[in-house]
Amino acid sequence: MAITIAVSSRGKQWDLPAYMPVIAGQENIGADESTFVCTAIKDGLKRSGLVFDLSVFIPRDQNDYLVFDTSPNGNALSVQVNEQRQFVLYFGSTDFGTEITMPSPEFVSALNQQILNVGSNPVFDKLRTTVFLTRNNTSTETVSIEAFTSSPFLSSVVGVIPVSSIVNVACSEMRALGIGITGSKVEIDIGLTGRTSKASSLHPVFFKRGVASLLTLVWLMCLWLTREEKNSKSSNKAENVHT
Amino acid sequence: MNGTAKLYQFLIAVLVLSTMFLIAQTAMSSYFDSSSSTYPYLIAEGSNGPDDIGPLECKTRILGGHYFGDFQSEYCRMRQVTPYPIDRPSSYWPGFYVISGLLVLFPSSVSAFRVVMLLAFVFGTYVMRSHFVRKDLAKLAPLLIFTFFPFWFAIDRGNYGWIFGSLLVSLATTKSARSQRYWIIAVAISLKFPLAVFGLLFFADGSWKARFKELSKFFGIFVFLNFLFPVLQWSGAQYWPKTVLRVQGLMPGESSIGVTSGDFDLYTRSDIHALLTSFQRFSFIGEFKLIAFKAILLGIIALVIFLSIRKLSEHENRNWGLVELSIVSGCLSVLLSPFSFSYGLMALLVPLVLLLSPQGDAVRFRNTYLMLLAVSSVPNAIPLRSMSELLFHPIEGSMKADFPDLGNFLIPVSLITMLLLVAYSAVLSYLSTKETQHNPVVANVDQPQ
Repeated sequence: MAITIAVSSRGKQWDLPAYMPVIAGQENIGADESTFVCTAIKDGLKRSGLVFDLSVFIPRDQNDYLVFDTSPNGNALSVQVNEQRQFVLYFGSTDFGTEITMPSPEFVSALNQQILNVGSNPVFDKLRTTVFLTRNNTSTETVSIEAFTSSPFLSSVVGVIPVSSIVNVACSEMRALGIGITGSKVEIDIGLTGRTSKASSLHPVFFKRGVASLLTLVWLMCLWLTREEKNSKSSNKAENVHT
Repeated sequence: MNGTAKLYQFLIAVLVLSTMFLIAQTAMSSYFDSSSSTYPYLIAEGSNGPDDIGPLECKTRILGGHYFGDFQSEYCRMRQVTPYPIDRPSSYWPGFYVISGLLVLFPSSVSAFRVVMLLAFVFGTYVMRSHFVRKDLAKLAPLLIFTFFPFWFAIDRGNYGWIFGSLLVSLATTKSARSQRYWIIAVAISLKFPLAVFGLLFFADGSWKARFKELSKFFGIFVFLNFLFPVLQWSGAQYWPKTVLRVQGLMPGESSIGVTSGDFDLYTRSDIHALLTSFQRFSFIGEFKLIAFKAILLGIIALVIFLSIRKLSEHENRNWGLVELSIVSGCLSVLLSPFSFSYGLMALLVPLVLLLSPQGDAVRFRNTYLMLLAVSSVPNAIPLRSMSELLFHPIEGSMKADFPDLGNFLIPVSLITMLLLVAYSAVLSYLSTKETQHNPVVANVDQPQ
């Protein structure tokens, strides 16, 4: 059974079209682009992030509860619910472990229902997905991979993998980081080494929340300072009356 | 007694009490071979870091080998698409993330933690100086917060909700913040919901019309921070009410940190629960001895109340107001809060400061309150397990792993005593008010105890 994945770009630096349907069964990206480990990860890239909107139309297998998969041929990112009803993140053939505890029965039941009712509607429609690859401080030979989505059911999937196993991450001459997906690759401009960490931390969602929080605090601070002005004004008035 | 002498006396009392508990702890360790510590461990956790922090990326050792779990956990939670992921239930109201969401603008948890802790010290100093405006007191006042053990415990955990929440409530009790306390308390409760009981402070003064107006403004800000704002800003915010219901202690069974407990455990429940559980843990000593033990505790409460009442001047006529309400709120917050770790005692900072500062009115039993607050807030978690084993020779396996320490008894007993004294004081005020209505007398509010 085929999966249809829609990847839409966010931001002008992306070379992808705004809406790029990818049909399962196509070949992976070429070896020259994908089979070497990104030197940036080895040589100082602290953190790289990939943000995309993912729409899954038909799950591959109703029995193994595949949630989404960037390629059916391996060497790609996939998230599955296993027999123990745990979310598992796979990259290629590497199992990143079962860091996520059991999803709620309501979710599993809703997922089953969605699978049954899927028709032409997507199981997940424009699921904002962020994948972070972070070089570990303690060991330069391993990186953490985390996948966050806008669904609270599919967040903070964490795993640790050896650098050598990331064969599908590529750095282009244009300083772009790519993670291979079927038929093409998704790119994000990482800029100079060290800037990516900041860039990825300024993820639009929590960056907006941060700015909103800052504005709220500024407003509260204004309330406080205005109070002091009022007090000092009234005390000045009182002093003037006395004099 | 002037303010400086009162403050000095309290600080010395804290120093003496802390030393006494430390000596007792050392003696217990030596004689009973107890390995537990009264003071928090400032050591690194396992190689993978503490379990409560979350994603691997968040497990950075911030100071030496130490993790500041509550801070790192929330910092990372805020950097996700939603701070309410299903796999790690949050115990905070959305307002917490609205207020402190700006922390995600810092590139790492290390830099964010440093800034927050610096702010905690600066804001703590500011609040203390707001209470003690006189020059000689203002210099001494910051020592009150810097010798307050729960403040350091909260820093050790990185629990800035308790630090800033309690300091904000304390700031709201100053006369200069009177007109602004509706939003200050709304922000404080958003940061730590066990502080909600401090909403009683709105009833400390003013007419009913003024109170209604102030409460309306308070609810406006509270609803904006916790309901309206998150829905406008966050994807997935609609899931929060369900998550809040999972808050530890409010629902039986599974706690928010994923520990399933069929029994009441000592350290994740309210202090009043912890006291009852502590009695259960001592059930191996036999029914008669346990009743005798409870009788001794009741006797201590009765003795403290008796001595306090005996000292009370016969014709003393004092109003019952802000200070008493802050004592009730502080005690209830600690006794009923589902999180009973030592940082929860931060709530006691509010009555403590009011009792010592010139901002608080004259109250009955001031010295008793101060003594009980000092006893409750110094590091008093002296383990009793080894001593109990030696004294009572329990059957093997009859003592549970989470055996109570001295603090599990001392804190609730002290706070219950305070509540009883406040209640007695309320009765006296009511009677004297009635008496004054029939036969007016001039009240001497400055009369020292």
